Amino acid sequence: MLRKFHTYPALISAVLIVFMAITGLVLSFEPLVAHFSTPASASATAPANVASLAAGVADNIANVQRIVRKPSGEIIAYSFGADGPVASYVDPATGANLGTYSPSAFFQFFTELHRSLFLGDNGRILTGLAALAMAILSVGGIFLTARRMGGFRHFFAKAKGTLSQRLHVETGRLSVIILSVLAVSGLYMSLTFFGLVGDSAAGGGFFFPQSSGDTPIAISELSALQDVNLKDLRELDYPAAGDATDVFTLTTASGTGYIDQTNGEMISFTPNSWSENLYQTFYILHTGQSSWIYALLLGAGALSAIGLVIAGLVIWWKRGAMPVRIKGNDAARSADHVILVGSEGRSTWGFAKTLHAALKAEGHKVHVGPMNALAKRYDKAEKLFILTSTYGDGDAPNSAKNFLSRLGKGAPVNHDRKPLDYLVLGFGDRSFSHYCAYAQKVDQTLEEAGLKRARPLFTIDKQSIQQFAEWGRGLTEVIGEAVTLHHVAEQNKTQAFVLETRRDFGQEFQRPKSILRFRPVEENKTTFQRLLARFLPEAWQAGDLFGITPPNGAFARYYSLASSASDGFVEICVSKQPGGQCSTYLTELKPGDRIEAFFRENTGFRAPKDDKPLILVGAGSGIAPLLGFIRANANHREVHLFWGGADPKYDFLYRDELMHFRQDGRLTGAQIAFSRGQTREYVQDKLRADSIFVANLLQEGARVMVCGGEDMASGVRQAFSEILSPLGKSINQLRNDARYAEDVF
Amino acid sequence: MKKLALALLVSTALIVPGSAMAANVNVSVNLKNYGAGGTYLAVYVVDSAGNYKQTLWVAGSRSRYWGHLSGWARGISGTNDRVDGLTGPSLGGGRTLNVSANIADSMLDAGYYVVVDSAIENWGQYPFDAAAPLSNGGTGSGKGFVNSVTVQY
Repeated sequence: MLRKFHTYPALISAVLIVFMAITGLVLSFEPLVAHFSTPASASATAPANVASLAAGVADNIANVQRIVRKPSGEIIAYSFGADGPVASYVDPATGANLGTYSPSAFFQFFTELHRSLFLGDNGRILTGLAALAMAILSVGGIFLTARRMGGFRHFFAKAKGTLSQRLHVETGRLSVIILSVLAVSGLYMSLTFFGLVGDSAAGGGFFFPQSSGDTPIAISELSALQDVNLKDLRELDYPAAGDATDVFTLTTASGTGYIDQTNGEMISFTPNSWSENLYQTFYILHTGQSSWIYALLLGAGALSAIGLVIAGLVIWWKRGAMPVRIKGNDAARSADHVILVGSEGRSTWGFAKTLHAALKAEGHKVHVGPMNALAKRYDKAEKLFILTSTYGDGDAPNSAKNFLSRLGKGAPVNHDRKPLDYLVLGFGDRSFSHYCAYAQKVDQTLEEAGLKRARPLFTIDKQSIQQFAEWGRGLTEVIGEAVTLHHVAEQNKTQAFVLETRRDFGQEFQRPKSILRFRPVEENKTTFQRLLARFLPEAWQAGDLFGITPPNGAFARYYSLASSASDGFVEICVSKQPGGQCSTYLTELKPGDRIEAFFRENTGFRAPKDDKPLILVGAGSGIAPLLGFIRANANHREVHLFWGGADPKYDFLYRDELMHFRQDGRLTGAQIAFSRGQTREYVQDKLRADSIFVANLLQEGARVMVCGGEDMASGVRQAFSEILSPLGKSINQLRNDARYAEDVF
Repeated sequence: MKKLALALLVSTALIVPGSAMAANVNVSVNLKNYGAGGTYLAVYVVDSAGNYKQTLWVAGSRSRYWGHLSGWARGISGTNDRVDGLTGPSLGGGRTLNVSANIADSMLDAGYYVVVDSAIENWGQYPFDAAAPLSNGGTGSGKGFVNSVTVQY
């Protein structure tokens, strides 16, 4: 509901808001330009009362009609010269003419464009609607951000998600105050223009006060003008030349009045109503006329509005469409089989697509949708299939975030009000703890909600197509017919890389390891694409993953990157697994050989951009991302490495680099353990030996990053628990503060 | 059909006697060429003593700003005159406004004047900016935003 309240107005007004933002951005430079094109003495604030200024101007400028004090302090006099109206800067102290004031035609054009698009009242309605939309979006955005972050207390917590989501949240949080100010003030000015708020009579009342005598007195003697402080002056209109009955019309910060030019008395003074005061405040807030610095801040707000609209549209576009196209997807209400997908990326959707096609081939009507779209009623449905992965430590993946709360509002039934039969298929990776934990939770909760479990939870490890096919064969007993599931994993968009160098370690050893350095093949790329790939924030960095599908292999294997895009090469560390298809393929490559591979973000395992110390812990080829962090440590933050190998003679990976980085300051200290060396110790032993030092680092806010096998990771967790408990802390607390990250394989 | 014919008959009957005693007068108001746009103008007739007699045209659609055409506004505020059908959009600098109006024959060549008041947001207002005698070929030059005004019939 809240999201719709944000999305729909945005979709309707996107073009308009971008238009307003661009024109507003241009206008935000007007006060700056005006500031630097004002004659020097015109901005000096000399103490003068309005009577002496008005007299001085009348002496210096013939036929003066009106003087206006701009919010920035300059005094402009409008008069009629021989060739028509003239506007001049005047010295606030003396009223002397300082030269012609010519409002920039460029900015006048943009002002009119910004407030009416040159479409008259219709244009003003449009711009008013743009302000309204902006106000709605600001309010909705604040609440959505709070919801996304887990409450207003965490409003400024680190944004997560895709690049566009992060951009949208970060930009929104930074600019929401400016944008709200612009929206509310713009809206109020618009409503005032159309007379919907404020006093509609103001400025339009036909009230014509008259001076009482026959002979005007000297302007400098007008007592009502003498009483007005210069900084309170807004406008002063002189009486028509030669008309002794006419009056001075004075507008000050507090109201409007008329001054009898024959006795200097105020004839009538109407104080500003609250709505006029509000209007003036909003006018200054919206236009930034009082300060060019503030105006530039408004310009930054306009710029961020453009960014917000673009990032927001990207998010909407990606969310609106399912990540895969399902051919012949039936409507939820007419389907007899419903498949709901919980997925963070695309892979689980691919399996759903295969299942959908197979069931359709049997003549069923099948609906596929995200788990977030769970309905309370599926009229024709018999079976509900849930295909879901697990996010993190048992959390819901992106497309299932709202599933359990929706389920809590009512279990799905068919038109007979009979709860559906359901099957849950979990996707995960056994090498992680919490394997398929979310699928288990869903399986359990559906039963508790009163649905009938048609088959026990089935899990699929590392996207195994064999296991998927096996599950399909088992469906016979559930739906009465065999379902043949030939799943062909969707290929990631790969690019070509050529192996540049390889360094081998312990080839005579049971687990030979190789450091492979690839260079992207850039022959098909333009210079622009190459530059873009290097400088985009999206560019891959150390700790991200390098996905390689071996020839004839079914699915991609991921290797942590030991280099960043700015290094210009791709480095990974491969440990040859007995019988491992991909590691065998990689370790047999020769320099000059080509591979096809792709990058995948690993946002949970990146070196944070602060200056807190890093404690890097790893074993074996798990050193790869850690070395990448050290290599990228140009700012020489404090980095301590704890690493464990097998035997210093065979597998001391990156020894030379570590010594080099230790010397040039990128690495502060290193503790290396060898399980088959002279001392026979593990990396966790090194941590325990240094426990006081490590505890001190943690007290300073150090962040721990662990990479390696699960055995090592659990040993390291144990060691950190021991170090943390005297501090009254736990690993979970560190995790919650994003200070304990693991990349376990 | 009958109704339409009747309506035509009645309306023509109303117009024809009027036109017998009034002339169609063309007033042309040329503005000076300044940068600003949005000039509000009031074109009206005064007698030889400067008293308001009749409105010919008001340029500028927002009535709340009409008070700035103060000579005209002061004049019309003492009458029951309506300006329905006598208004149009405001003008940019350098443009010319052509007004065609019915004026009673008795006022032609009888010492009356066509007067123009002008006003522009921020730039100020100019009551009695320009005036031309209400006679065929009468002209006058402006002191404010108006360059010249000419009368023809």
